[in-house]
Amino acid sequence: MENEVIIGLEVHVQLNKLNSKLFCSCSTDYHDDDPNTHTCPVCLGLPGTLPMINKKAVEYAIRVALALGCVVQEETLFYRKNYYYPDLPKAFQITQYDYPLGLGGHMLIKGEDGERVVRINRVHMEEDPGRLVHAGTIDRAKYTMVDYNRCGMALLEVVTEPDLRSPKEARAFLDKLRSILDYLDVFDGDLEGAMRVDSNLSLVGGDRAEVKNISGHKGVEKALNYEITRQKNVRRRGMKVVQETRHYDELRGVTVSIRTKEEAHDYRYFPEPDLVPMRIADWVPRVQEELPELPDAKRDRFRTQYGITDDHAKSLTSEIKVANFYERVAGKAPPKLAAVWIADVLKGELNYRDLSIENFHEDQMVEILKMLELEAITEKGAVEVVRQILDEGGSPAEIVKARGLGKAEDDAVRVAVRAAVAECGPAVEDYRGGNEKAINFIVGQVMKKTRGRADPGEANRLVREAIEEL
Amino acid sequence: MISDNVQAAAVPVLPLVRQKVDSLTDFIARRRINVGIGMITGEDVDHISWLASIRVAENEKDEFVDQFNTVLEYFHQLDELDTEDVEPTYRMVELVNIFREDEAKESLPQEETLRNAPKRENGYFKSPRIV
Repeated sequence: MENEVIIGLEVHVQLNKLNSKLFCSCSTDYHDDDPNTHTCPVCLGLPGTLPMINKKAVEYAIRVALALGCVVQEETLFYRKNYYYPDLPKAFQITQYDYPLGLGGHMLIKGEDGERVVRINRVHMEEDPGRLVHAGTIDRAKYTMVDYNRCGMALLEVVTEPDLRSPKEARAFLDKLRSILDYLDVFDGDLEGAMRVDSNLSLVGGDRAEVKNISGHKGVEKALNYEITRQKNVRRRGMKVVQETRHYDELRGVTVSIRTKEEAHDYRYFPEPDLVPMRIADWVPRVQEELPELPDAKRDRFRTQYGITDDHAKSLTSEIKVANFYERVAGKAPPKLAAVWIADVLKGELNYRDLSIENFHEDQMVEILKMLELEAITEKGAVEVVRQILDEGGSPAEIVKARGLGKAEDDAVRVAVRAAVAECGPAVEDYRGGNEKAINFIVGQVMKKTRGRADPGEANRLVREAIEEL
Repeated sequence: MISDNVQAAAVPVLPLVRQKVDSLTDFIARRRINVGIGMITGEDVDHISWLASIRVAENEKDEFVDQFNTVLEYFHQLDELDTEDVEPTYRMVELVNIFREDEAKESLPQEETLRNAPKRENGYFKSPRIV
C-alpha cells in the first residue's frame, strides 16, 4: 500500500548553535526568556535599519551543504519574499531564490526495501519568522499573539526531491538529517522549534497537498499517515484530491485545510537591495577539510575496526556523543561486548529515562564490562547496576557489593550457609525452639567459612531462609 | 555521504530550481502582456490592496489608480534610454562578501520593543486573527 505514496520534504533547521541571529546581533539564547526580549530595530523591521550577514552562519550553511553532497554555488544571493503576515514585522522575509547556496545533493537512508538514495534539491539560507501563539486552534482563534524572539534566527531550508515513499521513510530521512547536523555541531535538536517540516504528499496519479507545521521528526509519521488516510478516503468517496495547503494540528492529530499566506502566490521576489552578493566558493576547500567524520563513514569504520554488527554500528553512530563514548570504552574493554552493552542496554535505559549519555561515565561502563568478562556478575546483575547508576548514582563495585549482585561471591556465601546449617544441627534446633540468639552462632560459622567476605546481615537472612527450607 | 555499494545508482544533476511563485520580473512581464505597461486598473488596485491587507474603499479606488499610474509613468522615462548594449544588473555597486562576526549584543528591553504596539498581552504583540 505504501508504494503508492509520493512524499517530498522541506525541512527548516535552525542554526541555533550560533551566538547571534542571521542579520543582527540579538542573542539566540531566548528559549527560557520572556517574549519579545531578544529583539532589536533590525529584527523588528523598524525603518532605517540595515541587515548584516553573520559570517559564521554562512560557514555553517556551507558545512551542511557539503555534508549533504550539495555543490556550493559560485555566487549566492539573498532575496526579499514579500507577504503580509504578523510573523514578519517587515512584511517580507529575507531568503534565497534562484541563486541558493547549495544545489543537487543526496542522502542515504534505510528505505522500505533496502537503502534508498534521497536526492536533495537544494539547501538555502533564510531568516526565521516570529512565533505565533494562537488563542485556541489556528482555525478558530479569536486573535493571535506574536513573539519576535525567534524572528531573524538563521534558518536553513533543506528541500528534497519527491523521493520518499512512506511516512516511515520521511521519519528515517529526518532522523538521519538530525544526526548529520549533530555531527556538524551547528544545531541543537532538543530546543523547541529547532526543526520544522513542511511536506508535499500525493497518492500516485493524484494531486498533491502540502502539509505544513509538522514539528520535527517525531510528528512527521503521524501527520503524514493521517494525510494518506484522508486522501484515500477522498478517493473512496469518488472525489478528487485538490491541490491545497493544509495545516497539521498536533494536538488533534489532524490536518486542516487552511487559507494561508501562501495563497498570496504573488511573493514578488526581488534581490535584497540592502545586502551584497556572497562569493564564497573559495571557502569550500577549507570547510571541507574541517568536516568531521560523518555518520555513514563512522558506521563503516566501526564495523571494520571493531568487528561489530552493522545494526550496532548504526545505533552507536546516530549521535556523535554516543559514538565518542563508545570509542573511549572500546579502547579499554572488549569492543564487541561494549557494543552490545552500550547499544542494546545503556541506550535503552537512557531513552526510557529521557537522559543523555553524559549521565554515564565511560569508566563505569568499562568496570561493568570487566566484571562481565570475568563472570563476576550475571547479565541480569549488570543491567541492575546500569539502572542503579542512572537512578541513584554510585560506582559499579559498590552497587554490586551493596546489592549482593556478585555472582561468585553470592554463590560462595550460599554454599557456606548451606554447609553451616548442615553442620550446626544443635544450634538449628535451639533456634527453632525459640532461641533467637542461636542464629548468631551459625552466622559466625558462615563468616568463618567465607573468611569474612560475606555481608553479616545478608548471611543472617540467608541462614534463616535455609532453615525455613529444611 | 554515499557508500560504495550504492554509488552505481547515479545521482542526477539537477537543473536550477524553478519556483512555482512569481518573481518580480515575471510579475512585470505579465502586466505588460495583460494590460500594457502604465495601465493600472481598478482590478490591480484590488489585488494590491489584498496582498497588503489594506482595505481600499470603492470611492478611493480611482485615486489609487491615478497615483499608481503617475508613479509608473515617472519610471517610464527610463524606457526612452537605449539599453541595447547594456548588461542587465540588479545593483549599482560591485561589492561582495560584507559580513559581521557572530557576536551577540544586548537587545532592546521588552517595554521598548512593545512601545509602538497598538495592542499587547503578557509581553506579546497582539494581532487580529489571521486565517
